[in-house]
Amino acid sequence: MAETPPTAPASLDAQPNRFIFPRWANLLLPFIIVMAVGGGLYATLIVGLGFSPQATDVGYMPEQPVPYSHELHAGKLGIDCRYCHTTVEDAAFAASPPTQTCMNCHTNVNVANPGNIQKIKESWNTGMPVQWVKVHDLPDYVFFNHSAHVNKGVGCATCHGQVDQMPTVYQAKELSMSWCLTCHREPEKFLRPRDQVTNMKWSAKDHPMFADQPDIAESVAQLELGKKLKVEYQVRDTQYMQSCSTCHR
Amino acid sequence: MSSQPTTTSSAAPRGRRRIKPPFWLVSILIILVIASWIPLAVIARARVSKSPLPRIQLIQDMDRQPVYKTQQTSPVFSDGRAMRMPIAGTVGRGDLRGSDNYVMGYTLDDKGQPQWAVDFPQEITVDDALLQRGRQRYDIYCLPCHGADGIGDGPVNQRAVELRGSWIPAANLVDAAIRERPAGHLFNTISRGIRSMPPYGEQLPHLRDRWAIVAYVRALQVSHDAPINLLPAKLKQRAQADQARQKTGN
Ligand code: HEC
Ligand code: HEC
Ligand code: HEC
Ligand code: HEC
Ligand code: HEC
Ligand code: HEC
Repeated sequence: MAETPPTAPASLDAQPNRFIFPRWANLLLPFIIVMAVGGGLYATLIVGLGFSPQATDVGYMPEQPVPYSHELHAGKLGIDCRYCHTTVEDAAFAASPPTQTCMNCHTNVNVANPGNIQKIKESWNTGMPVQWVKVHDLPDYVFFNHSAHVNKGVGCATCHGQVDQMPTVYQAKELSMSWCLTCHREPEKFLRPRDQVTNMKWSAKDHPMFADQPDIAESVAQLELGKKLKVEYQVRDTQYMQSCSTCHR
Repeated sequence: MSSQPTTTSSAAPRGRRRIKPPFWLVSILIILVIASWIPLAVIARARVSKSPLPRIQLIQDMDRQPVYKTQQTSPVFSDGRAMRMPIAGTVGRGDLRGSDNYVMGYTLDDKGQPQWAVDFPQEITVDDALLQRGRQRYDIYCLPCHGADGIGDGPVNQRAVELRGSWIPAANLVDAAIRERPAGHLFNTISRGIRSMPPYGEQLPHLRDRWAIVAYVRALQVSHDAPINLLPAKLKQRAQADQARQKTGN
């Protein structure tokens, strides 16, 4: 390369470097490239993690008007879910129990803190319902039906988590469309015998079918049992299960 | 590369020279990198923790439509229910379909006195399916108080007795007195309750389910003093072994 002598026009000599980029400006190009790539990755990370239902929906645990505990009633006292949510097997909606159901026992149970059930007694005396806050709530354009699931052997725990260990109910699963579809595509990974749907401690490998295979893996047992139940309960084909009009009608 | 000195102070070869970015640029960079962890930390927390704050709805779509759904509240009515209660005394269509014995468990005689149905009404055939159904319904609605085998030691009853107060212990269903109750009386106890036992008609809307429970209660009663030679072979062996052990005194 031919060298040019370091001579500059006279006008620049007066204020040296005024209009010349400083040397560190050379760093800007790599810097911008790194920022563009890194920023893009970063934005993807934020949107992927932050906008997912795991972050926005799961863990919603509203405060209820009465400190009613599933851990106590369904867990410790072992009351079956259907004792209170009587409609799950017959209807789309799983009704919250009326005050009458609580009063079956609470007219006479001598609880430690009567203040906690004061609202129930008031409701019983005045006829005004207790206003429970809804925890699980799909958008109104989605059609959901409890009886369709419960009668084909999908357990409460699969969709609501370990309710019997929740002092206050919270949303344990995403309830997003992709979540529904993971099961609708492969229901055999989740099905259980119909008479076990409300059992919170059920596991496939305890099924009598595997009595002679004590150390079978849970996932293997589930798949084998699920395939059998899928035929037995005549679960509909994948095409129907993932067609838009099944859930959006 | 030329060996001629340049105007800048450094004498090192050009390729190896370190360029020092200005302080402000470095600080901005460091602040940015640190700040970028804040949203990540917030998200991580949102993903693992529980919160009473309403769910975050990024896109509203038609998520909430102006319709009343089951069990919602409405400001229109003074009790806040959007669903209205039936007027007192209303009988739903189909609720009274069947004989009096099937629907109520009794018939009224000329003097207006109830005559209990002694046996199951003609609408019900007692078979294995009915008993299985009865067992399942019993385990849901009766077991908490009356216990799995009907002797009144259900988990709720046990706990409530421990807590004392005005709790009346649940009756022993295999007791001689209850054995002698007509089937219709048991049915009526389920539908309408008795003394301090609450009614279960609301929770057991299907009449067949109530009769199924009656059948299962009868089965429990039989099972409590079934003669040993009525048992299936396997259970019989176990029962005989138990008896033998009891006789030898341990
Ligand atoms: C003694 C009555 C009782 C029993 C038994 C019971 N629940 Fe509940 N459940 C309630 C009441 C009352 C509410 C409303 C208040 C609340 O959310 O805590 C409720 C709320 C719920 C909710 C949240 C509903 C919503 O708003 O989205 C779920 C899910 C649920 N129950 C599941 C279960 C399951 C699963 C079982 C069985 C293991 C069960 N429940 C047993 C009384 C009961
Ligand atoms: C089958 C009987 C039964 C039913 C039905 C029932 N409970 Fe209870 N509940 C109990 C018993 C027994 C206890 C006391 C348990 C203990 O202290 O160990 C209790 C305790 C409670 C407590 C705790 C009181 C305290 O000391 O802090 C609350 C609150 C409560 N129940 C609310 C409800 C509500 C609301 C309902 C209706 C959805 C309901 N219960 C239905 C049996 C019942
Ligand atoms: C296939 C998944 C699934 C299964 C299985 C399931 N649920 Fe639900 N549950 C849901 C969804 C989704 C909602 C929200 C429905 C809505 O907002 O329309 C819900 C809502 C509820 C509610 C609130 C009232 C309502 O219907 O919106 C209760 C109570 C409830 N479930 C109890 C139960 C019980 C008890 C069982 C077991 C017998 C059960 N669920 C089984 C998915 C399920
Ligand atoms: C764990 C498995 C599982 C999950 C999760 C699940 N489903 Fe299902 N769903 C089933 C099974 C099994 C059936 C029964 C299909 C049949 O009738 O043969 C079913 C049936 C249905 C039906 C009724 C189809 C009909 O016409 O009878 C609807 C609607 C539905 N699901 C909606 C949903 C929605 C919405 C969600 C998500 C909130 C969901 N499901 C989550 C397993 C699941
Ligand atoms: C198994 C049930 C199911 C099936 C099948 C299903 N969806 Fe959905 N869809 C849902 C649920 C649940 C939601 C609500 C998701 C949420 O709340 O984040 C939803 C939401 C949507 C939304 C709104 C998304 C948003 O947040 O803006 C669109 C659009 C949609 N579904 C289109 C479709 C189309 C198209 C198909 C057929 C290819 C389809 N769905 C099949 C259950 C289903
Ligand atoms: C909340 C606890 C509780 C539950 C649940 C319950 N019972 Fe009772 N039951 C009682 C009590 C308490 C008595 C004793 C009433 C008395 O003597 O005042 C009783 C008494 C009875 C009697 C004897 C009545 C008589 O003729 O003397 C029968 C029969 C009976 N129950 C059947 C049932 C059946 C069937 C179920 C299930 C559908 C059931 N009970 C559920 C608490 C309960």
